[in-house]
Amino acid sequence: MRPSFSLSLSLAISVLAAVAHAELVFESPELVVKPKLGEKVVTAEFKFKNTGAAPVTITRVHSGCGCTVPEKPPEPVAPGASASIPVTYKPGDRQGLQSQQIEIETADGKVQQLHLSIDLPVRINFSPRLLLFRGADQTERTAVITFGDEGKSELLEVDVRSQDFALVGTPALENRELKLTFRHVGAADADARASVRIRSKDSAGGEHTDILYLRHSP
Amino acid sequence: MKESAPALRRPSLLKITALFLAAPVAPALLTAWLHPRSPDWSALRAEALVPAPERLGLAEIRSRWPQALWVDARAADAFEKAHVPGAVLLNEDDWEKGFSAVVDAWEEKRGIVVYCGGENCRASEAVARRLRHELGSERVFVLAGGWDAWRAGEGRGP
Repeated sequence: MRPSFSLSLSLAISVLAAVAHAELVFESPELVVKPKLGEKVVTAEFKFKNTGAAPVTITRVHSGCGCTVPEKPPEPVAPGASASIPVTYKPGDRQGLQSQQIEIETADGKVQQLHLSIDLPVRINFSPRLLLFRGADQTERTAVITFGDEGKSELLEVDVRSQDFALVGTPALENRELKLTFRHVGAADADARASVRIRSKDSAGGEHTDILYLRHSP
Repeated sequence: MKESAPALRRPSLLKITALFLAAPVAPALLTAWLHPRSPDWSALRAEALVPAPERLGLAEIRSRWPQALWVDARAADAFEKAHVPGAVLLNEDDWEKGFSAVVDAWEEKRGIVVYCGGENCRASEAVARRLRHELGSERVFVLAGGWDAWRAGEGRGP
């Protein structure tokens, strides 16, 4: 057998073996979704084609977070056929850019990774969300609350129900920022805790109540 | 006698590199500022400044923060099955409820240790980062190896 012939033969066998092997080709193994403010459920779909010569059965789909639920196709995918893996994502109270890995396994033991990025709107940001006061120190402390929503949020009410803390000034939402300044006015030797309820309305008409926490330690 | 023409000075490699790096800055800044769909920078900036939480092993936590408040960042059903004794459930599925529980349980001098399922989960880091920001405390750590590491080291004592 001439070397060139044997080389061609082994190459042909390799190609045939590769083609006969089940092969999933994804349109895009990485997807980015950008939900609107207030969306409770986000969906995405990873589309693929079986480019191999054998039917493919997806035996397992898995994500590392309970918030992300991928679904495997119920039937084996025939050679040349297309199918998809739908993914449902529940943002809960998450904000900002989220990243989810999804693992799929086929009957031949092959594992592939998919990546879903969810660019969630930042509705509100506290800096910080707990104001701490100590002893007889009457220094004022300020929380800066930044509203996202492209500056379209509306402040409805700031509700302080406490005898131990006094709000300094009149709260107003300016340039997306609400600055709330407090002073401790209770007994220096007593524990005190209070919560400040901030009611706002977003551009979609959704009303929110967010809480700022105040605490005094002797 | 002929006068030789003045030699052209070639710019140094440093200048070329600096020019090469500086050239796209102005258009990039203009785009970030003027683009109709530019990101909401004001809302993002504060959280972006929070450094990544430190990952500590179980032995180090027991020696450095023996009175730490444990925070379980796993899903509620996993927490219901088993958790570190005294741990508070806090994940981003329901941040408001969990954060309130953390504020109730935490004292300023205590460290906070956040864990999720194992080495590869990311929830603990996300929760720890957000806790650092909202509590304004740097004493928030991540348990390296998560719940798996806790179970492996459980019962060995401090």
